[in-house]
Amino acid sequence: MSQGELATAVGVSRQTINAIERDRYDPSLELAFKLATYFECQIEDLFEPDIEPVEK
Amino acid sequence: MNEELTATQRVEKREQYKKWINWSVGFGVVSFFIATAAWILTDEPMVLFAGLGLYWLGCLGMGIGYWYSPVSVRDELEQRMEREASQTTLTFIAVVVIIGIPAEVVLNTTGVYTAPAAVRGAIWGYLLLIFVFGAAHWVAKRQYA
Repeated sequence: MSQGELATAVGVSRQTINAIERDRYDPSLELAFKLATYFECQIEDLFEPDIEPVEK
Repeated sequence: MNEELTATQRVEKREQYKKWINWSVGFGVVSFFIATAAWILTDEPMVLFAGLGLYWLGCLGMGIGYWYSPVSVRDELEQRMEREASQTTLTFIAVVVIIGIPAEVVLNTTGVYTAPAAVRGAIWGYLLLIFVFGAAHWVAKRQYA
């Protein structure tokens, strides 16, 4: 599948998909959900969270 | 209306309205340049007014494109880039105002140096822009309060 096809499927530009793939842009939550829905997986399967530990 | 469109339709609409906006801007600018060239050749002011009218027509077309587009004309990465560029621009303006206005007032008041009118106009115009930003920020903040 090309970047263009994926971009069209989730409603963004090819440049956006390219920037995500190259780790230069973190997608919005909405787009992350769309990508996860498209690939039929969890968001965590696609993106590794780079966050500090949260104290409870 | 956004909810009714599929992702593919959103992309199609975005491209469609982008094309319309670009075409409108191009039409307006090219018309103005042609009219200016024609005015230079003919020295007929009406040609220049016609060019101005066509330019405004192109601007109107651009505004209509933005207003009636059912989806955001820019996708989220483009919006992000625009936001970053805006922040950089605002920082530049703020630095010029913070450093420039006190300097302009002191130098002008003491008579040491009077900056050219264009420079003074730009500095004070930037201050006005900061007030506009403040007002826009206040409006935006109210949406999240």
